[in-house]
Amino acid sequence: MFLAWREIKYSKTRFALIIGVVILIAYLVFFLTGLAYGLSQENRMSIDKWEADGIVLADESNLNINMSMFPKGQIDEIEATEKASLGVASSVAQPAGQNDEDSKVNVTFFGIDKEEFIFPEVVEGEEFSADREVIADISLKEEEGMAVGDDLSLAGMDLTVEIVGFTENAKFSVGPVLYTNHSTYQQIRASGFGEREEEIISAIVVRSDSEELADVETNRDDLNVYSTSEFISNLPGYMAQVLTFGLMIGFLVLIAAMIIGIFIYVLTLQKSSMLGVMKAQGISSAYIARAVIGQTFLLSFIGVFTGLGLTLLTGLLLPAAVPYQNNFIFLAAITGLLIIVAVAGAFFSVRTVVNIDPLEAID
Amino acid sequence: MKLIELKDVKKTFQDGRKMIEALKPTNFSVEQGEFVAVIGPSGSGKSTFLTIIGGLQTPTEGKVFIREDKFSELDEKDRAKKRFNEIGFILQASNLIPFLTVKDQLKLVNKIEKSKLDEAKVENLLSELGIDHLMDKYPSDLSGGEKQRAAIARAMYHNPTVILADEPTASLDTDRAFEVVEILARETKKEKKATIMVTHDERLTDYCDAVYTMKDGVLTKNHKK
Ligand SMILES: Nc1ncnc2c1ncn2[C@@H]1O[C@H](COP(=O)(O)OP(=O)(O)OP(=O)(O)O)[C@@H](O)[C@H]1O
Ligand SMILES: [Mg+2]
Repeated sequence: MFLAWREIKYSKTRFALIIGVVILIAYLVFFLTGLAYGLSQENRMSIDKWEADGIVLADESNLNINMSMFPKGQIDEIEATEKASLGVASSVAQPAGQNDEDSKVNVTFFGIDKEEFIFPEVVEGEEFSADREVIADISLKEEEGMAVGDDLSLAGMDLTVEIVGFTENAKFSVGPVLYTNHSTYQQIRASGFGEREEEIISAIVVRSDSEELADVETNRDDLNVYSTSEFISNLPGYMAQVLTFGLMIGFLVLIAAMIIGIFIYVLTLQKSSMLGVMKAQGISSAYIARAVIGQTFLLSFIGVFTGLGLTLLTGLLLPAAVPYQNNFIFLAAITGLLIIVAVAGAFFSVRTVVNIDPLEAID
Repeated sequence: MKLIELKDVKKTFQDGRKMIEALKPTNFSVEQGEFVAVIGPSGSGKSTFLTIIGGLQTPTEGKVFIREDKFSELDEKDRAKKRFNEIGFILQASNLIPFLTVKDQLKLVNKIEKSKLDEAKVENLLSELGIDHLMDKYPSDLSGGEKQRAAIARAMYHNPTVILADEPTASLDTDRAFEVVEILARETKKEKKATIMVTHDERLTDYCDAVYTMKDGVLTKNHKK
């Protein structure tokens, strides 16, 4: 580290430029990770909020909750440790009295029972107690400026609902969720499917005490139980999005390794006559190689952590509408990965160091 | 005691189909406290001779002993280790690491050995060489003579058995060159080293105990004037 530090201190500009490049790459990687995580959260947040182990859907729905539909009464036939009925319907909501395009919001209604476990925790206002009252995701307040007591009209329906409370982390398909009771849900759903005599629901969310939902039994051929993780990975577009971001991040990490590797390689080549002199003086290749690796570690450490700091700072300054979200496990993993990969890139130069002939230092 | 000893050392290079005998079979030794000069025309084999003694290359035949230890028989890694501990190299120029101050050039030795910097020794050595005021300067801020003196300090600091200098005065004017050679001679006597200096300049040999001439790979001892 002695040589590594002294050299960085001596050639400040050169190393500042290299660190600058590392910072930019790290910043990009971290930021993309935050965006990818934020977006995936907006797809699944409301599902994670259930803290459920599985979900029962109609067999013919192909794991698409929007296509799943069965009578609410069938919940009685299902065996599970805990179960909750859920109706899902997407809609377009707009503050009552307004009719400009900008004020329209894509929302998802969750029809639920107040006594069941998926009922959300209200952070502002109160729980719904009558028909046409909803608990909304807090993003409607933060991003759309709505408040408790506001009425929302629903597109294509002669129906308004009133926000009575807000809850956190309730997003589904990158839009806010509105929780309402089953009878309101039936009205909303009916507008799409026509009047029905019996109440219908989309799914039954279950908790289970045993591994792999072994104790959950649907007792019907036309209902199937799926694990929550299987359900999430089959959300429309979810896997495609996660894979796209994953690939981009993976490539960026690789590119970072290559860029740092090439920088260090060029620096090593430039220094080769000096390194020859050092070897002539009996300084071992191992010591010189350690200095090269140590220097790469210092450069990437400084660069990656500065990039991380900048990302966290940007995260604070971003408007709420950007789906950026920090996940400290991911950030820590990417930090570690970037540094490891950069140091691995420097190993490329070790061969050069070993091959330098001290004889070249003479003459 | 013979600090450097060569027994029937020979070096040949393969150049295409031709064999070049850069160093003909040579017997040679340097005693403790002895300062030896090797002069000779370009291409005569002086550097080959010096680098074989320093273990930078191995002889084709024969053996090199440093402080009566077989040196040329060691493998590359052990030779590097012994070189670090026993041999101080002083080269033409650019012998110093550009991003280390004069003091740090010496400190590097401690860093490699994982020992502490001997402040008193550094002060002593540098003031003896007349460069103690340049301790915190980088090589680029030093004159040619100051650089060579710093290189001598670097070579001496580790208290080597042997000092090998390949044209240490090549980049210096006559006055500076004499100064540097005088310092080398003085340190050899005082610290009881064995020193070999390769040079083009015959006038510099006044300070030496023995002068050898290299010609076409043959080393012969000059008779004292
Ligand atoms: N690695 C090598 N391969 C082939 N020939 C070599 C090699 N090293 C040296 N020689 C040859 O050996 C001879 C002696 O070279 P050496 O470098 O020892 O000369 P020198 O006396 O130091 O010359 P100078 O005064 O110019 O430095 C030269 O003819 C040179 O071409
Ligand atoms: Mg030479």
